[in-house]
Amino acid sequence: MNKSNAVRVETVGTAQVTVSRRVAAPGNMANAETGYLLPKSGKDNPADLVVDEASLGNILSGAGAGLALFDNKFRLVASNAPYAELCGLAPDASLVGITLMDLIRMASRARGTSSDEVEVQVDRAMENLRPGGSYTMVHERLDGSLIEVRRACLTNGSVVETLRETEGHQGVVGHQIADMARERLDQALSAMSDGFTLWDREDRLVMYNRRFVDLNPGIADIITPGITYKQMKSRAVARGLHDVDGVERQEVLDYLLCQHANPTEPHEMQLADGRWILVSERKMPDGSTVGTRTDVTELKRRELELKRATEKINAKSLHLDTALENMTQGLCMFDAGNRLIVANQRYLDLYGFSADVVKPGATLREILTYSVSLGNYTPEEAEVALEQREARSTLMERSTVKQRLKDGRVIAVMNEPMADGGTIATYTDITESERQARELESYNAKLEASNRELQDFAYVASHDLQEPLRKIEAFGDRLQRKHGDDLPEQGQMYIDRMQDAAGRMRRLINDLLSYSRITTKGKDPVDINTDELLAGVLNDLSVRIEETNATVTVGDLPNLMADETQMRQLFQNLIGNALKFSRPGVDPAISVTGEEENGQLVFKIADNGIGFENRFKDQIFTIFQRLHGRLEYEGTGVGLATVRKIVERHNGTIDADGRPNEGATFIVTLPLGNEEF
Amino acid sequence: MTLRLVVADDDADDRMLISEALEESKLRNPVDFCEDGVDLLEYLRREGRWEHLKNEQLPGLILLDLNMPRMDGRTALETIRADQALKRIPIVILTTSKSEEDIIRTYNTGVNSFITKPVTFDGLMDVVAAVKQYWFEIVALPPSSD
Repeated sequence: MNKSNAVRVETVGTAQVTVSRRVAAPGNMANAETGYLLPKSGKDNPADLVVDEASLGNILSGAGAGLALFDNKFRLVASNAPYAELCGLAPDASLVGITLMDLIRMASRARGTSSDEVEVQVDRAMENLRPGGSYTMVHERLDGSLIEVRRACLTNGSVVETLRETEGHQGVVGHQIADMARERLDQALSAMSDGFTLWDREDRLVMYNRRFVDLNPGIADIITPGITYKQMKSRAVARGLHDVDGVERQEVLDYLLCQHANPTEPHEMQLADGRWILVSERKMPDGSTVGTRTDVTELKRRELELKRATEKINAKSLHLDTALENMTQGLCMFDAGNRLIVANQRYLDLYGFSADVVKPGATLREILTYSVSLGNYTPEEAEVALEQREARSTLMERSTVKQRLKDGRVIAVMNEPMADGGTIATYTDITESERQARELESYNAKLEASNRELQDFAYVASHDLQEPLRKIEAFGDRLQRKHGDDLPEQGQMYIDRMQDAAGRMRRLINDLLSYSRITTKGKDPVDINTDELLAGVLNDLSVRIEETNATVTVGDLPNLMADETQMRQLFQNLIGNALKFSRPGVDPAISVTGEEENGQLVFKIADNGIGFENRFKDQIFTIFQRLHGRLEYEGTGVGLATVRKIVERHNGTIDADGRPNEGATFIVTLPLGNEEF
Repeated sequence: MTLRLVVADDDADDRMLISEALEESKLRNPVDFCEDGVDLLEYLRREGRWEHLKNEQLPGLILLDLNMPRMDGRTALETIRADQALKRIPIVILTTSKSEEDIIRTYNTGVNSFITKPVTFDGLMDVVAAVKQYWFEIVALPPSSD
């Protein structure tokens, strides 16, 4: 590519002269390329011009403009009056033989142009006026009017100069200034990151920059000044650069042309290499079209990324929204200034709030005041709630408050402070569970009262029953003592049976009394030396042990913390039971063992007695329940019930394992420590 | 001079049994029976139905039941101990109660003995015999009047 200031003349068609000039831009603009097309200044620019004298005279005098002809040595051959006049010289001055350069100097001096400037003009003429070269410039005269000067060098070396007054463009700006502007424009266009095109009213490419070529890689070879938009696009479409699936190329081309002819909104277009271009075209008032093409690939990529991220966020947000709106709890979030950030519908429903009032930005105070106006609670309650919220958020601790609304509902409000000073509050309608809790409470109280009554009854009944029983026994005794001898044998027998029954009733009453005293007269737990306790129990049972010829083995027992009297009773009843339910003819062998197991104390009392079937297991612990006839085994059926009651009072459990005619094992499990009952 | 003995018990059966037990123990001292605390205080002060004993000396011993209507034994005990004329009379509690609280409280109020009513008549006989022997044959009682 020619980077000098050389001028090339091309003939395009018959009506236009195209001057394509390659400009070497300074510095970093070295690669800049710009093409532009100058509109032809007249129809007279033939390659060769041969005329005779007469015709010449006619031409000169007939021409409206100043006209001068120079030979190939730049000496004036002929000129007309307007020429001299427009040069600022006398109309009748004889100019023949004067060189063009001298005439330039003369005319410049007449215009008052500085000598330096004049020499620039002379140099310019020398440079441009080579065969086929031409240039146009505009001079400003002293009176401010403008003269357009056109000089063209014919192929034979002769020069035609035309001068004419011009309307003047750009005010005082002369052609040199226009040139400078053009150069700056060149630089600016080259520096542009956008592709730039200027199409004239006939849709020919007038001006474009390198970026435009770069953005049209498929047709870079055909982009050249003068090409029409249609030519360019036809080629591009033919090369498949605009192929759209399922659309005829002609259709695509028609579309492109139509869009170019009536540019509307900027539109995006993808290049075959994948890049995205934003094409923006605009019709100018003079019918030309200015187009810019911006590479928006990166923008597009970011846009896509953003879109994907947004979609992700939206999806997440949708999930959150779904969760928020479908949760059974009311939820809202307040910022550090106690202004509402978000609230779900459930929250609004709980308090009967309108979303128009309770909306993001509303302060807690406003919401509470509104809530008071709806009658949810009193202004005092609202004030307390507000103070609590403020106090809690400073302390950064979670708080739970039960709100009793005027309509009777109970709302549990949990305020969870956030790190940024805000609060997440959840609201749960606990009316139903509160009601159930109250019911349970009252039920428990009733049950306790009933239990107490039952115990009181057992105690009072057994206590009061003692009195008449004592009389029965006493008077029975008197009867026997004083009048026994007077009675027949049968009367004696009746008294015996009566006294026997009275004695059984006494034992029953006493057992019932001691049974009821387990809870009413229980003592606080103390540390118990189990070995000593067992020694005491065995001592109390020593007579029966001897009588039954029993062997009682006591293992190494862990100490325990319990009501000592009751523990004594427990072991006494269990060992006593084992002695009582021995097998006829078999000496009782009883073992008492105990150990710590999983944080509990487990005692086992095993015997080799008559045992029992395990299906009766529950029965043996029930008060007054007996598995055996009274005559077989004496007893009231309170012993094991008492044991169970003692165990239960100590938060323990009791179990039994019986094997008929083999023996039974009672397993008592007690917690390690009972601080209180 | 033979000292009198007064028994305060609301239970007619018990009064009869005690009376019979005292008879069988061959107690020669006269015995009076009151039915509650109010009756006992009237007896001691020779008021109401006891006016006819105005000239009799105060009893040498009181056998007192605790659970009685109108005025119970505890209140009667406190009233007697607070009365200058009566406070020296020895009092033996004879009751069905075995409660520790009663035992402690009555001893604190200056009772001389606390006996739980025996269940059988034989037991009652033993108690009555012991009381008779101790209080009327061994112990020196304070003068019955100022």
